[in-house]
Amino acid sequence: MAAPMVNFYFQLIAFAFLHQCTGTSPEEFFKSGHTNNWAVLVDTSRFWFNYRHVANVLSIYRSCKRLGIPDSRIILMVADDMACNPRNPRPATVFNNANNQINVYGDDVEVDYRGYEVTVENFIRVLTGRLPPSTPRSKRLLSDEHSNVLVYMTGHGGDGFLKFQDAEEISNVELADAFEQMWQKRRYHEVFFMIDTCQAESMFQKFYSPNILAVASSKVGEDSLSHHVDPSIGVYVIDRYTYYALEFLETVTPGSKKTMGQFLEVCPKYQCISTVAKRTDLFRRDVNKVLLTDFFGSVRNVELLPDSIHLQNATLHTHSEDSSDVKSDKPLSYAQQFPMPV
Amino acid sequence: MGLLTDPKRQKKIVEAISKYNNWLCVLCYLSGVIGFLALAYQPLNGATYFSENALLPGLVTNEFYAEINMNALASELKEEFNKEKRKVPREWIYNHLREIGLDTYIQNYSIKYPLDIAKGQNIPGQNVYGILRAKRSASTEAVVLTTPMRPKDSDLPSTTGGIVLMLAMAKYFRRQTYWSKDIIFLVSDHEQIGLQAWLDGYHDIKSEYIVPSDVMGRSGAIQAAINLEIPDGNIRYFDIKIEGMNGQLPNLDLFNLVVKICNQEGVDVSFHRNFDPMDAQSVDGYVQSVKTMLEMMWSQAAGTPSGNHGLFHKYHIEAVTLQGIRRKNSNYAFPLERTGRILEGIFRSLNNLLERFHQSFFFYILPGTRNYISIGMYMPPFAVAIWVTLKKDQENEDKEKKKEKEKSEKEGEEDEDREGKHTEEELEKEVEELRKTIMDEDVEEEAAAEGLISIMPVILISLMMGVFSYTGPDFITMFLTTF
Repeated sequence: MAAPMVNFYFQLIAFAFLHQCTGTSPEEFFKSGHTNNWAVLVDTSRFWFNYRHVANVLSIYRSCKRLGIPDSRIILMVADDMACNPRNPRPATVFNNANNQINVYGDDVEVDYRGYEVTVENFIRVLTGRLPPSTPRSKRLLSDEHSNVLVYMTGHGGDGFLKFQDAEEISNVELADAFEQMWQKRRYHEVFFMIDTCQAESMFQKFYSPNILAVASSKVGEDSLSHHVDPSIGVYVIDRYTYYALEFLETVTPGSKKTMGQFLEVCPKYQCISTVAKRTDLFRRDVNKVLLTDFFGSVRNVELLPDSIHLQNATLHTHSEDSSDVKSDKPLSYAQQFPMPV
Repeated sequence: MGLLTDPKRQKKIVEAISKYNNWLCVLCYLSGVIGFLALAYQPLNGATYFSENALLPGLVTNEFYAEINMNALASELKEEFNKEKRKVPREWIYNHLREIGLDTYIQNYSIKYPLDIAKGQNIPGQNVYGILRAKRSASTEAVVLTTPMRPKDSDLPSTTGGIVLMLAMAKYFRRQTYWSKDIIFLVSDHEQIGLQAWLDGYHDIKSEYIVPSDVMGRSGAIQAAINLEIPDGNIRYFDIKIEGMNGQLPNLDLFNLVVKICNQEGVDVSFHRNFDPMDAQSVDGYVQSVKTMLEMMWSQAAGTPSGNHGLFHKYHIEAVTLQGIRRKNSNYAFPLERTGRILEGIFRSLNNLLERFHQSFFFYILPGTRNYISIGMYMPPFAVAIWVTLKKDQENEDKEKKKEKEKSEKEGEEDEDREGKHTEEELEKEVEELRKTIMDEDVEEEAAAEGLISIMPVILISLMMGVFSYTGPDFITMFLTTF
């Protein structure tokens, strides 16, 4: 009965509350134009000596979750199981730092594509949505034209390719075409593409779809380097670019006003040793005005009503209308459970 | 026409070479030998590096400490050895391995000596081995830590330190959860024969002279093996031995791994009892490098393995021997625990392996522990040196051809003189010339064939020698028994 009224007041309060917290003007809330966030995080390397790639992707996963993207909106693809590898002296854990000992594996990690399921074909099918009907919902990228998608890839790469599973490669042309398919199918609003491999710049050089912002850990001809060894485990635990990116992300809260422009400047040459490359020409907005949480977090925007709306006491009317409708002979049916994305 | 395909130029080159043939041969041989020896000079060869990414050598800190009192155990073991000078304390070792909790087995085998040396008696032997199963992975692969048992009256230095260390390591390794391969602790007797019996039994190979009984406890495919020859007491430095049967060598990655871990623990390591020279570019350094290189080649040429490790190579198992060298009253000697840490580092690296060693070189010569000469580097000077033999053979062929040609040319001239005056028979002359050329070709072919025939006896004799040395002992044994 009073539901719409309560709703309105709630929204007003919520708006005021948010306004208190962030101290910005309402106009800024809707500049982004997206309504939901997705993340596709891919680690393509197998074998124990590629421990750091798994630590990379799990660290980004943790950051995304912390900033608000739920597991249902994250597609996590991890090519090998480091936590349960017999060589792991700390079973069921994956650490990304020798000192701080943050277990990025934890007991609430949800890996959607594991082990040998991480293939080039599956990755492109996830991006383009061309999955067989039997694929469960958790393995689908159900994004729409208002979704901001974060794509993070790590592993071993080269000039123009990224190695998947020690058996196959994805080329930069295929990746660019996959993004173009996404654009034509209206499967994203904006994409932030982040890649931490050797010669990573080559992977985004062929992009030609609009609204893609890309950053890579090294230029063509350069190797991305790992950061440090954990001597108690006996492997390199994290890569340089991801390490400094995480350092930056740790200062970000869900309501933070840090911009993508700041994020793109993370890890200068003296820290990363390789040169961080970025691609902003396809992106329509100015990166210095784009919030970091537009891609890494999932900030729920609130619909602002600047004018007051006089709502009629319409509930009584609707009730009576509904009751009259019940007697109509239109059969009831369930809504389609899994609406197939076209 | 190119330089080498133009027949005229070819002829010129061949003639030039033939003229200075002897000088060229001497020059080639000398330059080949000198080039070969020059490879030991440090700027001319390469520094060793790791080819296998998976090894991750030396990244993990080694935390081995002996939970048992190794000295007490060592003196106990020495007493056991002293009890009977010609026997080895198998039961003692078996009981200790069992106590630690490994799957322990004794393998029996008997040796049948060829040539009737033992007058038809079969000599029995027993190997003791324990398998440490990897808790979190299937027993599809294994690595071996082995040491030979030597009775008191053996000429070779004792290995009691190694046996005690193996027991301590087995106890420490058993508590760790990070093994992806089984570890087989093998104590063999009768030196190489015992180890060969174990390997034959493990891989189910039957031989006429070494008859192993079935190996009851088995693990998976063996990826690598470390052989220890460590005496009791404090060790001054390690000597690494790599030469196997028929000069086969282990993968260079394994050698580099052992050297790196030893260096990491601050232990001196030598190769053929030579340390790396202080200044490799000085004359003394160069002489030392050449000495090491030649000693290694000499040891390989003998064909017998320099240690028990040599028997593993035949099965594509990379193996090296770590021999501990003692020096009396040395200040730099270190206790067995340090060796334990070295072995722990080596085994943790071997644990990381996913495939057999295949990335690094199998054919190489080492002038020291930090440099290597690969087959690509030592083949060219060697080829230049033996080009002499090919040259000499070519020379013989050429000489034969020349003789035949001169003979046929003379005949041709005589024929021409005889028939040149008749114009009607110019056609005939042409026909005759054609026939002569065909005959010349035949003659040349004969000459070439003769060249081949001249080296056939050499080839046949070498083949026969090979066959005889292979089947000889069998034959002689048969004949001796009939007489």
